[in-house]
Amino acid sequence: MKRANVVSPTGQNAKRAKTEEESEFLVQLASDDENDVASGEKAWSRPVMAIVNASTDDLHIQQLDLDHYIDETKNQREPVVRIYGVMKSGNSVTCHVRGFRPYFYCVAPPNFREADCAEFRSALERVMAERAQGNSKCSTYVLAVELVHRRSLMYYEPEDKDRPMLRVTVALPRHCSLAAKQILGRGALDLPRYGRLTYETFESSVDFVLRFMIDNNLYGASWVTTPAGKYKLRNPSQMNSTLQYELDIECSNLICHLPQAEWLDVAPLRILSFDIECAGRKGVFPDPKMDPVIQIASYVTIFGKSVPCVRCVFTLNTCSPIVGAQVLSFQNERELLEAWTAFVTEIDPDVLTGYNIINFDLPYLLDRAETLKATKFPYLGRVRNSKTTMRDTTMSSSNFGTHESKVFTMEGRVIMDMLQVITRDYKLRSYTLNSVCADFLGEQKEDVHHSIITDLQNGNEDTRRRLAVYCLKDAYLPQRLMDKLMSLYNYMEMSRVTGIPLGWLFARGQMIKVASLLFRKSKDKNYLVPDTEGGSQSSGPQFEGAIVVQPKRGYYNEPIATLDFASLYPSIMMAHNLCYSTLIRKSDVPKVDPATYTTTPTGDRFVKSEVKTGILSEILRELLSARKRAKADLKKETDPFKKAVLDGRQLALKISANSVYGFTGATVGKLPCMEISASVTSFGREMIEKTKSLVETTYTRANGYSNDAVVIYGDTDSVMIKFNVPDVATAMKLGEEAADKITQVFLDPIKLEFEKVYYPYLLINKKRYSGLLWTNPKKWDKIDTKGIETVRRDNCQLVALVVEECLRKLLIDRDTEGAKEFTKQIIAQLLQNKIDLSMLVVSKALSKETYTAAQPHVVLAAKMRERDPGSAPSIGDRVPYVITQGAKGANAYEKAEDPLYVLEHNLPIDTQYYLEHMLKNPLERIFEPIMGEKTRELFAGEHTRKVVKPTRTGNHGIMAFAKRQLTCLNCKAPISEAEKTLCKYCRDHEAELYVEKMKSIANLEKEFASLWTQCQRCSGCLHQDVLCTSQDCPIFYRRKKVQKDISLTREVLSRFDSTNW
Amino acid sequence: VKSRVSKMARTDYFPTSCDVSLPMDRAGPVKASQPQNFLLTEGDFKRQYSHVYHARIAKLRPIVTKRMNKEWMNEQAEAEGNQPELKDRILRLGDDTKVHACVCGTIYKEMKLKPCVLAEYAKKTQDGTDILDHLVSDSDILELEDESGRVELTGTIKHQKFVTGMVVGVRGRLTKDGSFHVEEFCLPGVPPQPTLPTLGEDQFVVIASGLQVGRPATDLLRLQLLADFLAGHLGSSQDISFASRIVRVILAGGVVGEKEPELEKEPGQPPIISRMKEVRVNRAKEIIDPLRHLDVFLTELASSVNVDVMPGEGDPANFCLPQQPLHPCLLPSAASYNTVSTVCNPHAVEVSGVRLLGTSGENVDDILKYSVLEDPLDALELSLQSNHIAPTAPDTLGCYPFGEKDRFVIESTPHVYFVGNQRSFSCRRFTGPEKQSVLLLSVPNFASSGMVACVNLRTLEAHPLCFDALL
Repeated sequence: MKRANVVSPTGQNAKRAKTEEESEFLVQLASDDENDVASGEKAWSRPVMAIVNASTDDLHIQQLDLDHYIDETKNQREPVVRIYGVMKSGNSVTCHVRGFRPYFYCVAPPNFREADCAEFRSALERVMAERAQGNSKCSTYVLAVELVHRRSLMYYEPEDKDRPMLRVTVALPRHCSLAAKQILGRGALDLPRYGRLTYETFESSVDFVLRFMIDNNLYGASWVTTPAGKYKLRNPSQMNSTLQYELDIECSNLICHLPQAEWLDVAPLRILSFDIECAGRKGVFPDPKMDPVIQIASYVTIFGKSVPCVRCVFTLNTCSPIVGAQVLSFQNERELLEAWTAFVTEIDPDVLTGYNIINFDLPYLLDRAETLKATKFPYLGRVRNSKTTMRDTTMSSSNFGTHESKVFTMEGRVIMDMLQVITRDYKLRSYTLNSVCADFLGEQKEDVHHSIITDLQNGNEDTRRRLAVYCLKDAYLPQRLMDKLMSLYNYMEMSRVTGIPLGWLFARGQMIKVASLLFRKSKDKNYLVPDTEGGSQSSGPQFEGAIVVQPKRGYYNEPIATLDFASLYPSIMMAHNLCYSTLIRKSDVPKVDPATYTTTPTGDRFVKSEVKTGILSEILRELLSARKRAKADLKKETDPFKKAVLDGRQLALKISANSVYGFTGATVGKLPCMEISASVTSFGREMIEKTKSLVETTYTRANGYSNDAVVIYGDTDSVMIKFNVPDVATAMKLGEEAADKITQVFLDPIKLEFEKVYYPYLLINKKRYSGLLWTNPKKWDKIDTKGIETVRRDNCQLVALVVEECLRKLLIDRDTEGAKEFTKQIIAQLLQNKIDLSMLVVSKALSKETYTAAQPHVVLAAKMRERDPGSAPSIGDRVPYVITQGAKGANAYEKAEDPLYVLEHNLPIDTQYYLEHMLKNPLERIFEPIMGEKTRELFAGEHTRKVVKPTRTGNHGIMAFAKRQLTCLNCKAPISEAEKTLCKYCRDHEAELYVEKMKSIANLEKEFASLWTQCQRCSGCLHQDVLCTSQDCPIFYRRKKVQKDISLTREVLSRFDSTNW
Repeated sequence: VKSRVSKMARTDYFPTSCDVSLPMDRAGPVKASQPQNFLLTEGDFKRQYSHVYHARIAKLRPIVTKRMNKEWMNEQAEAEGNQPELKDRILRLGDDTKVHACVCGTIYKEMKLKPCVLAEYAKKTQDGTDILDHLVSDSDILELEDESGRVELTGTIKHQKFVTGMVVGVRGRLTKDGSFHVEEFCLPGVPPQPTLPTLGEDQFVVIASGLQVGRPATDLLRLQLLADFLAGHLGSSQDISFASRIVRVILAGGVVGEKEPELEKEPGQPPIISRMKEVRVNRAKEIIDPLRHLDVFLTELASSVNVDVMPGEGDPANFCLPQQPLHPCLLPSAASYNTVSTVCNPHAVEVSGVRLLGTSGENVDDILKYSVLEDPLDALELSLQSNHIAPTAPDTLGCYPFGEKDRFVIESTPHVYFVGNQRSFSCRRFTGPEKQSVLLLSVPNFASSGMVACVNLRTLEAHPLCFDALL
């Protein structure tokens, strides 16, 4: 492809010349090959297109996205599936696949004959023609009706025979539901000889693209081949997309490869990571109707490469150059936006990433473009003239809760928002880019407050450059996160395992993954999935939680062995052959031989696998054996790239296996079946109980063991056993032995595994425990903690740190006294106001102001707005606060104050509040199992007596009218102006006091130096002031406080300086 | 008790013909002044450190540029067609990889082993982190920065002797990944030097560091020997006549303090507690006794010789360089003599027209820690070549956030450049391109070595004096 010079900054000619140069520069950046610098024909675009001869060349394409459109060119409207993909060479391709038509099934009327099909077809055709409206109109509706033999997935058929069914092929995807749901399902078809029957329909609501993939054995992100001579390459005038090649092929000629062996490879995909900056007004969150987009930074990375190939930033107004990145400046915002669209088209990324782009960057850009009437902007997809639009959706999922989100039409590109990925896959204290980076990349990110952004923008070209550097960094971080977490590998493998397109993993819930597997398997086995009335089912039976053995709370200073059921729910489903297709209808029970079925603890009956293997257990078996294979391959593999793929694969397989159970239990899902899910959990409960009784009856003194074993706790899939042996090695030996013994009691493939020993172990309550984990008898691995909420945001850091330290002392040092001592010490220090302020900061996001009850952060935000509307937090900001001492009886929300304000005015902290409301509960929980009643000692006694409150500085209230009397620095006795520092009695100690003060100055200076140089290192800049206002950073308040403290201490010290000597 | 002063120097330092009667006469009236002053008149910690770098590069850029012009843009280079294009800012390097360019900037070294305050907050408990002498590693990255931007420096030139904060010139080419391939470095070089006066006779300056008066580490007897010797109360007539030529004594830091152990905190303990008040206030009392001893010691000297007292690590002074003079209230008796001056660290003094400049050791220790250099004299030379007393300040060395002016830029080359509190005595002569001649001097810690350094102002030669008391 020739280098299209699409981006033209600020129309001037002089600037244009510059662009030429810059493109040259990018040519060099973009070239993959070290030696390839000279060929100046590449710029931002993909590798130069090789000449393809359609009659001799097979094309191998990794597909990434699929959609369909209705071809209107011929007289008969026809659905065409479009596959977007990339070849090994890095060239992008789209295939128009024709010849695949939507269809569904319905039960054939009794005694229906092959010959009746034609009649059925024409009758249906007539009704369809009458009913079709608008877009559904077509010349022919029903293309074919065939008589086939299939059976329903739902319920075991005692006769075990396929039923006659009709396969109805229709012209357009939307005809499926028209015909199935509105006509056949409602008795609207009047068929001679049969009258108006109501038909049971099957598989009418399968998405057309998914149907296409299932029927062609096409999995997500997999490879397809268009064989030589079987496809037609379009010439540029016929192309309607922005990809490099476009071709037409008949569905039957397309070869789809299963993702295995050589087809596990990944093409050199292009990933665009971007970030925008907008200039907000003081005190309000940027509004696309008012506030301009001032910069867009973009990084393009080829998949698998560690260095990005394009780094550039678009800026509004001039900007000084940045070494290693291209700067394109615009005078007009509309031009900037439109140029970026041109840039995206030229870059032609397969994956779009960023941080919170779905809910901020992309909507903002689209809204802003609309406000500015930048008509050329919203064309970010790969189909020419297809406008990019967005709409709101709510995604509900049992795993992730309900989220409001946006969906974009952007054909052929996968939007992978790293915020979404991380919130789904990781549980963190905070999801700001800053704290995510601190967690995963181990570095603090410079955080420039949005009120400063506008100032930088309104400065000169150098301040704008500063902003651009910041923006570039932010644009690169999502890419680095993606690499570090291997998100793209993992999601691609998930897509390959479950067989749905990559993009659907982000845009849709969990259910579609299992549904895809279920449809695929059913098809192989001649089953049809019945249509269900979505969402109409009642919430279904509530089944009990899976706590089985009530915890025997306490602190165990002896090894506790833990036995786990490996993949408990999947293995129960397999062992008992629980499936839709094995469930016996209540009415059919008498017809089935009781020896051939299992009655579950809930009273439901499923036939045994000897009679008929369930689809679900087959799916599960395949998933788990594939996982075993992947893990085995992973061990052998040495290539890190392939290792990453395999690891992603085994993880995807595990997650998929576990979500099958959830699918059967999802009441608003595609095919809920409470009989299955309730049976699974009740089996689980039963097994835990059985394990408990087996352990407690086997491992007894009576049976020759040194001591009686006790099960102290049993959770969903694990039991904790106290064997009453003194050492880890023996406990491990017994644990392994017990696991093997008990496994034999259960049906295959249920397996009880011995995994770990906790020693010591602190069992606080249900789902709340902590222990030192051992997997080998020589050395412990780590502290394992469940349910002790040290990560919650509405706790201050002090809590997390104290709890962690206590656990460390209790579990690793086994120093109960030390932990108590430490706690007391912290409490004493808290009351004496010696705790670092940043440890006490709590923060909450300010969302839309519709709180009914007064909340501290909301009240504080209002207070801050009164003080200074410019710097006050606005909607969407997180408001950090500390609780200060207020009037007697004041509510907590009235006592919240801005930490910076507290530092400046030396406000006293409400230490009692922190003790009572923050520290007490978590600490009590930890210490109660150990100290019992005596826990109270921690919160009262000698160490709580000394309380120090700082005096508020500055003249406020009545102090404004008072004149301060100098007091002796040592004994606080009033002294005269002439005495200055000390009273006559203390004068002898002058040197001592001076040294003391000097010491604190020295320490403060040391702190000042280390904190502020650290900030310089983070912001990567020595010659400019640090602008960072990241409240997430642990040193943010400390560095402010140290400045304040130095000047206070120096003031005192200065009183010595004029001492006469 | 047998005492002895060992003379490790050549005997010709001790003119045999000289017979001086007690109380001895000090060699002639000696003029002393402070050519460069480190006394701070303000204490504004509201500023950030960027100003230091700004002031530094503003001062040194013209010097480096001149040097680059001379070294790289001379006729020879022109004849060879090897003349780089001078860029006034890093940004102006633009993006052309073909241009052979040179530019000046401040070095920043990205180092894996550099201690990080944030790490204190990292949750993991660190198991016994070793305190390393050198924090350099192979993965260190060298960068060059100025007001306009930053660029990574690559190339095969061994750069590990460089440290953050040096202002240098580089010559080379941009590479396509945006880094700058360095072919050659150019340091600011040694500033001009005032001419060395010709002295008619030997005059000595004694530099002692790490006396640690009143501390267990210091042998009291040794200290007394030193005091007696300096006051001319000790030794043979030769010794006394030698002592009579000592015109000034500089105590280069560590007068009462001890170096503190690096790791104060229990490892793994998070810094929950605000560091402010708690900080070993009790130790204040510990230091009072040594201060009294010091007061006595100084008073003893004060009647016979001029003494400059510099603060150093562990002394009751502030932390950031330049450390300010010890407060007179700490030395009530000695401070009343006008022969005793409490001075800053670093300290610059001109004695009989000979300029001395030096520190209590922090600058050199830090350079050694963050580079591959081993010898304190090499560090001194690097500092001199970079035209800066403490380039690593403020990055890894505490330093006052200067505003207008970076006071550590060396304005004129001293004749003696010393560093206190080192392991051993060593010295060598450094000669600059413009015939600047500097005595680089590493002064050992007295408490551990019993040695002080003695400089002959006439010849600019130095030798150690060793005090040892054998029971």
